[in-house]
Parts: sequence; structure tokens; C-alpha cells
Amino acid sequence: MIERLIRLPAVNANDNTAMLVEWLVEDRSPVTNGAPVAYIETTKAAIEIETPIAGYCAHLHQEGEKLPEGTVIAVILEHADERIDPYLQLIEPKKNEQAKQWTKKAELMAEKLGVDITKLAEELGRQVKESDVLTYRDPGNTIIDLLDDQYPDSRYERVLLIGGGGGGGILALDAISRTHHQRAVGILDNNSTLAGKTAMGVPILGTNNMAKQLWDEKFFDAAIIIVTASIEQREALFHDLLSEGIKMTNVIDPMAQIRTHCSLGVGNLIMANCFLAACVKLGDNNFLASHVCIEHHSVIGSHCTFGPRTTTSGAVTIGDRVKFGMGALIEPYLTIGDECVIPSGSILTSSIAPRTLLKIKRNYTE
Amino acid sequence: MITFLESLQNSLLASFDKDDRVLLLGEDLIDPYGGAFKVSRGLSTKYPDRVISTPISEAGFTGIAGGMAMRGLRPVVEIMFGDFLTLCTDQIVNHITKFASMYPGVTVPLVIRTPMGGGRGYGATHSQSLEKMFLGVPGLLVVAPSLAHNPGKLLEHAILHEESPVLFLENKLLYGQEILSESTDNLHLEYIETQHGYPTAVVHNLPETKPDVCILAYGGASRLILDIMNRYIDEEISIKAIFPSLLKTDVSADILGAIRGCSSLIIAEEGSAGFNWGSEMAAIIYEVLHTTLKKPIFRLAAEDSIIPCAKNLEDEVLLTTIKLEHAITEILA
Repeated sequence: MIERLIRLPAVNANDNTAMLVEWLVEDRSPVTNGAPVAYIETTKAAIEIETPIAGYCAHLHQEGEKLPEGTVIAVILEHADERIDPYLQLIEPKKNEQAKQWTKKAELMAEKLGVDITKLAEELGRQVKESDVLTYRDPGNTIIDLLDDQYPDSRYERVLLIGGGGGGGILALDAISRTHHQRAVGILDNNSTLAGKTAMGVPILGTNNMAKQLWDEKFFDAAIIIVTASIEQREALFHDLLSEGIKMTNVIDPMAQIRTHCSLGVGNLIMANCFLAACVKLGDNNFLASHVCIEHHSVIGSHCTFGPRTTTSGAVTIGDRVKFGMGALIEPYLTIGDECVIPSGSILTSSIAPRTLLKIKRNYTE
Repeated sequence: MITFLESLQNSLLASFDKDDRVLLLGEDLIDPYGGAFKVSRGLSTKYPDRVISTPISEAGFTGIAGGMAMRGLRPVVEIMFGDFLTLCTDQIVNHITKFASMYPGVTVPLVIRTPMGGGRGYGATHSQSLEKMFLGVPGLLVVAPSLAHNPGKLLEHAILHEESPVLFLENKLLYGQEILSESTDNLHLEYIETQHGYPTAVVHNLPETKPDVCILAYGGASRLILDIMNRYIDEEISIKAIFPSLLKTDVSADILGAIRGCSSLIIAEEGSAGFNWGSEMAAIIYEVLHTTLKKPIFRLAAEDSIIPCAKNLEDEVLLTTIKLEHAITEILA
């Protein structure tokens, strides 16, 4: 059957298409082997198309149509009244291709987060989107609506929490509720299933990329980033927000002590019982969990996260994007380079080069 | 709906209509042939005295056109294949681009049009993208419209309003393609006007989202990139593409602004790898944006090799959608 299909040939190297200028035989009229049936034109040449077989020439396209190379323009039927459908089935591309089970973005995200996307697709029974993968992974919705709180309007700074749908959001809301000048007005989180819910009476409005729109609408005065697990993400968000012109604030629990001549950048989240001694310099976008002690004249970079009870002695220098576990102790005058990871319980007695992933011996075996 | 070729044909004709100082020189331009790629089709019928079909003598007729431009005409030269620019490079580098600076009161408003690019099996000497050889020539504007531009509008501006010599590059595979339209396409399109007459097109496939990746490219690469962008709408992958039309462009605050929101940048081109457009753009962008880019700039180009004829071997050498998609996946993974 396939030999009865007349295809538009590739006429010259300049074109992928050709114009069907004229049919040289009437629809379903008899043709002999080698007879010209149509006249086509490309940008370089006009040529006649011949039939390689005798029969009845059924037109599939109209004069004047511009068609891609390889298009079947006619079928040479065996009988003048033969049905054309069986031939068309040869030409039609296979339909009902199974819809893709997931988007490429969802697949990449699942790979990154270690989510079994095949299983997820089975569970959902529909196409998996990026947001499905994020939701699957994020336990944030288990701690929503712990309690309902109302902020007095007298607090002048309206704060938007970015990435605040999980446990860190509650931590920050708790600190903000104890301040005298800030009130949380909204939360954004990339887990889109949280949208419409509230946490401590504060609405979860949508995903993180809404910040610009809310800023333009003057919905809030300043933002704080809650994400603590990924420093990379924390820093990316910080740069994105700043580049969008959004003001960042510091959220400092009133139980934290910031002593004389300390200087702070913006975007720092400082929890209860932290102690920043005299003349400490703190950069931007750091997260200090409770009981972090930074002794006098220490200089801290930006985008660092400190686990509870991290303690530095005096005049310590800490770079950017350093991650501390819990309860690390740092001797005076030491320098910790950018992007180091300091595990819980470390006792540092010498300086650490940038990008050091410190491992400590423990007194137990795993 | 209008093709890249039709846009150029219409504008060339319109330029002839609007200004009788405009004429065209080159090989095989006369109807019915109308030029190897048909850009001048119909022109010699309407203006037989202003379309000059020359012998095979690129250096000669380019030099003649340079002289015409100095003496008050606005000539357009067609070099049949960009590869043949080497034959008239002395005229371009040592004469046409020099006169305005060497002699007081002289301008050389000359447009040299030529097709570049492979993908048609034309082989090693009819498939190259040689623009990198001309980007470092002072006084020469190198213009390469993408599918996101109105190529005819750029050409008309160069012919009628530009006082400096312009090398106008037309990618062969774009001729038959329909140009992107602001109103009808799935893709969001806007323009940044960095230098008057030569806008930079900014295209986004999911304009309401933050781009996953930003692609800086020009000319022929736009065909591959726009195809990927259309397909990736359903894949939730957000791509912002920036296509300057003036290759030796001021990387202005506007262009940097368009890139600034993206954490990853791909610079893609069809010319061969190394010492190319992408090298210079990457260097300029690094100087300003090194703190906001979270990943190294990913550069893609053709292999540093001759271009074979056979389709499969040609694909191995040239920039392809598969290579671009691999780069995007690598960046997002």
C-alpha cells in the first residue's frame, strides 16, 4: 500500500517546504505509470511530480497549499471508487500517545530531592507537577494552625515571612509576636498546598515568587527569610528579594541581647537568649538559633546558620555561608573560612580553611 | 504570519521605493533567479537599473560599493554565502571601515548582507558562521536578526538611516521560518532598545514565573531556542531568552537587568567554539554579575572543527536542540 502514496520530494537544499501549485490530473482520474500528476514550486525551482504506479489519483491537498517535505499529497488508488481511509491510516501519525506522567521540571526536582516519581505518579493518578513533588517532600503542613494570635496594629513594621510554611515559620512568628514593633502580615511558601491556610493567625498567601507583587502592592514593609536547611536557597532568595527592591528586616527575639557597638546587616533572624557581645559585627541574612553566643569583637559574614548554643570566644572571624550544628565551641582569634560546615559539638582550637567539611570523632560507634 | 525571507524581501523593496540612492550589487541577483536565497526576488523587475549583477569578484564589487557609499549613494552588497566574505575582507577591514576616520567629512553608509550558518549539508565552505572574524573590526556594525526580531525592519534601518558600514547576517535556516509575533505566539516577547534601530528581543515562555535558566544568543540559534521554549511550557521549565540584534552591543543596564533575575546563564551561538561572541559576552557579564550568578556561565557553540556535509556528522559539529536541552537539564539537575 505504501508504494501508492505520492510524497512531496525534497527538491533542493534550500527548502523544507514546497507549494502545491497545480494538479495536473483531476481528483480520482486515471493515471498511467510515470505520468505527471502535480506541479510544485520551491524557492529555487518548479517541478512536476510523477506517479510511479498506475491507478486513480486521489488528491489529499488543495492547490496553493504550502507543505513540508515528505507530505503525502496523493494516493494512487487501484479502483476509482476505492475507499481512501485505509491509506489515511498509514499516513496519520500515531495518536493516543500516552500523556506524559510527569513534567520534566517535576522529574528533575524529584531526582534532586530523592522522591520516587513513579510511585508518586501512581498515587496521584494524574500528571505529576513540580508542586506535587515539593508537597510530597515537605512536612510543613503538620504544624499549621497551632494557635491563633492577633497582632496589635500599633506595631509599625509589617513583616512578610518568606519560606515560612514549616517549623521555622512558627519559630519566627513566636519571636515576632514578642517584639514591640513588628507584626507578621503574611507567609509565603513554595509548598503550594499550604496556600489559604493560616499559621498563628497569619495567612499563607502563596509561593515565594509572589513577594514582588505583594511589595508593589505595599502589603508589607519588610521581609525575612525563614529557610534554614539550605544555605544555597537562603542566599538565592536573599539576592532575588534585594534585586526586586524588597526591603529586608532583622527579626530579633526580645530575649536576645545585642550589646553596645554591635552592627547588624539585614535579614538576620536571631532567636531567644542569643548574646552578641560588645563590638560584634554581623553581616546579612544569618540565622542564629537560641542560645548562640558571639563574643566581643567577632566578625560574622553573611548567609550563615548557627545551631542552638553555638559559642564563639572573642575576636573570632567567620566567613560567609558557614553552617554550624549545635553547641560548637570556637576559641578566640580563630578564622573560619567561607562555606565551612562545622558539626555539632565541635571544639575548634585552630583556624579552618574555606570550604572545609569538618568531621569529628565521636565517643560512640554507629 | 510572515517568514524571515518575506520580511527581508519586503523591506529591501520598500527601501528601494523610499530612497532612490539605494541599489544592490552582487551575484545572480537578476530575476527570475533573484539571488541564491531569493532575498532580491522581484527587485530587478521593478528597478532594473538599480540591481547590478556582478561577475564573481567579491573584492571588486564590494570596493565599488564602498566608493558609491562615499560619493552619496546607499548601496547594499549581497555576498552569496557568508563564507565568501574572506574574499572582500581587505575592502572591509582596510578601506570601508577606515575612511570615515581617515578623511574628514566622509561617511560610508554601506550594508553588506550575507547568509551564514549550516544545517543544509552544504559542507565546509558554505556552512560557516564567520561573524567572530568581524566582531573585532572597529567601525563595523555587525547585525544579526533572530526569529524574535522583525528582520526587514532592521535591514531597512541599516540601509536608510545608518551612516556606518553594516555587516548584516542572515542565518540560512531562518529564511523559511515564520518570525515570532508579539500578539499571536505562545511566547511572551518584548524589546529593549539599546542602540537606536537595533533592539534586543527578550522572550519568556512562562512570563509569570522566575526563569529557571536564561539564554543569551543571536541569529540562527534563536530557531532552536524558541522551539525548546515552546515545548518546555508544558514541562514547567521557565526560560528567558535574550537575543541582541547588534552583536557588538553595549551590554547595557537593560540587558544586564534582564539577566540579573536569573541564577543560571547559557550563552549559545552557531559559530565555532573559542574566541567567539560568547567569550566576550561572558567576560562582560562576569565583570558585573559575578555575585548574582549562582553557577558558572555555560557556553555552547559549534565544535572547533570544519563542518561536514553528512547530516549526522553535521549535527555532531553544529549547535543542536539536543545539545541545548542537555545543557538546560545539566543546569537544573
